[in-house]
Amino acid sequence: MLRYYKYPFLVKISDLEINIEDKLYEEVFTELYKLFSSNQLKPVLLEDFEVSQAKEKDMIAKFAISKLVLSFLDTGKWNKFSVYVSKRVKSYLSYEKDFEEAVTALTSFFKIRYIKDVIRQASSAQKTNYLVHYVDYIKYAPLEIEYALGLKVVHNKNVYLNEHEFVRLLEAATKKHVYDSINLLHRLHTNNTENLSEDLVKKAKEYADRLKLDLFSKNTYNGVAFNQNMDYPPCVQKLLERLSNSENLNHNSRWYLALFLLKKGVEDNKIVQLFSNAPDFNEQITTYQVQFIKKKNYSVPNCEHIKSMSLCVADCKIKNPLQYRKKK
Amino acid sequence: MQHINNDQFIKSIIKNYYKKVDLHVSSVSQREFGIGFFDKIEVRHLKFNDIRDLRDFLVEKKPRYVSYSSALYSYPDLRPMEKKMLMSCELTFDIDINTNTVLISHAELSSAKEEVYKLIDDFLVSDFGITKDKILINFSGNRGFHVHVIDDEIMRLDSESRRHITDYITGKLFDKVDIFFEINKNVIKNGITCNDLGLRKRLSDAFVREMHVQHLADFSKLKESLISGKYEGIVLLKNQKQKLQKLYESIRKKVFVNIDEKVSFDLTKLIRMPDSIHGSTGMIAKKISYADLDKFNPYENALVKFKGDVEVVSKSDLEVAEFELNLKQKTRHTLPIKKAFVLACLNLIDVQAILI
Repeated sequence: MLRYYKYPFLVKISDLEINIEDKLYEEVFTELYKLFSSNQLKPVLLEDFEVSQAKEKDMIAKFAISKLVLSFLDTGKWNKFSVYVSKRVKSYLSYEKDFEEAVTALTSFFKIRYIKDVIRQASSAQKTNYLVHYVDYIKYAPLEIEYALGLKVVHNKNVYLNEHEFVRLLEAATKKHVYDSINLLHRLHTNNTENLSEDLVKKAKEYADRLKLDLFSKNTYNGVAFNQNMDYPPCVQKLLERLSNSENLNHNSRWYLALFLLKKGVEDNKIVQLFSNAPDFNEQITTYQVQFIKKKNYSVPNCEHIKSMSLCVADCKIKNPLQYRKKK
Repeated sequence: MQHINNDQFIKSIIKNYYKKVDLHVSSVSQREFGIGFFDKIEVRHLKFNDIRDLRDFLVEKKPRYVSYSSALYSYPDLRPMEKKMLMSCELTFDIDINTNTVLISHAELSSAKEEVYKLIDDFLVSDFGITKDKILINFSGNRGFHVHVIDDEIMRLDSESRRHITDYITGKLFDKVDIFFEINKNVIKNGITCNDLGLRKRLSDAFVREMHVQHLADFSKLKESLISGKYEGIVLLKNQKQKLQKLYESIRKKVFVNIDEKVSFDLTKLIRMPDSIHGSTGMIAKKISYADLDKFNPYENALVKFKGDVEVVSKSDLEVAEFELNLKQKTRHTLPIKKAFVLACLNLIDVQAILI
């Protein structure tokens, strides 16, 4: 039987008899605080036996409350939460006892049409292809270049995927769904789709305000604390903020950020830790790249160059980002 | 005889054309329209309630260019764009052939048709499974064709999803031959084969065909592997990798389709209204069925149909092969209206009088 604590978005909270107690809000607050203040993107997985039915209901309720609280916060936080939930789904899928049932539930929820095609190969090994309707594929395709339709085999309406790619597609669909549902709550708020009462919405806003105060006043990016009075120009601050929100930065942005921080004397491992928030983070590659930039001893590009890379966000009246000094 | 100048002649033809033509524009009230007198679009955000409303407007204003949105909106006349409230949008492809001549030649027309066939047969039908009854073709009125896909599901795709489709069709992501062959230290270890599906099969077939046509004997092993699908470490000799890349570049033009991508993924774009007049060429953006595409000849099928002749003076010595015309500069000639209209729109002649 499918356990919904792993895929809480599949359940409508109004379909469950749930008594939302204050302690759930406190738990949501703690979990979100942890997520946004530290490197929490590696999801914590629970075994089925650890989750009683009552606990499962609480987890589903907490998921709904989290979305509601997040709908009062900025979109960067929606992104980070969506990435977190989608990574958790992917991990659960990889350990799922009843993979088929989970896939059926998820694909039917996301309205992804697919055919499972098992091909017996000469070596007697089996190769499984998932043939996904191209319209559903491009609706959810992950942003990485290898998932571009242009690089896939497409024939007779279907995109041919292996199991790993198929699961990645479900992960991307989860991310999009969670983000969109927070967006919907944001737009509806008092009239949300999950039939939550006005009282719940009010309470969610209170917790969101508390989170804002407790969390965002701290000058912390992905658990790496920087000096509050740091002399980092707005363009660098913006990149740090985007990274903290689990946005995928492009090559130029990553290169500039790493280079700037190296020049400011930030240690290699701290920079690698910063990048661990990126959805496509690979520790080995990031470490290599940070060390490569250090070895090459590049100069920090001047502001004209920063502008040409579309990374400039303010008129600081300086020529080079290293000249930036925070006004006292 | 009625004396008339170019401007009066063009306006009178446009007026009479829109008076009589059977306009087939679906969902008129949900589309945004744009018109132009000197440029393609000078006024946009226009809305018409029905075909009659549209026809009356065109007859009154006599625009040389009429465009409409592939998108359908709740409020097509509102501004800015967000206020229009997008409902859906046809997937549109714009195929244009670069030409230095004032009118598209028959050879260029054949190339444009080839692109349309590739787009429809190989990509839309074979790969995406779209049936031909959901595909409309029309001559652009100038140098190519527009292909519209009218399917509810596809019409709901957002811009980003459409970009996936255009990248696939143009082969934009396949700039290096290495994408198709696993080349390690000049040894090909694996690659596409003629047994593959879709694009990979078409590319493999094209490689084999081209190797045969160009008599590339030094690629014979690779040719065998493409056919059989068995790669057993083919060693690329000196310069062969560059040769393979060059071969691929000639093949990609034959396999992928040359489209103006922006027309396909920019949902706000206006495109020439089918059956409207193209004011730069005087030809009609004629609707064409897939079955008629092969024999479509714009110099017969896309001209305005008015009886009568016009007296004209050519601005220079003029040879128009498509019309089998040879006009001497500053000499009076009598031309049928349909040909004179094209040459007047191209500003190659001065109309003197309509011969009644």
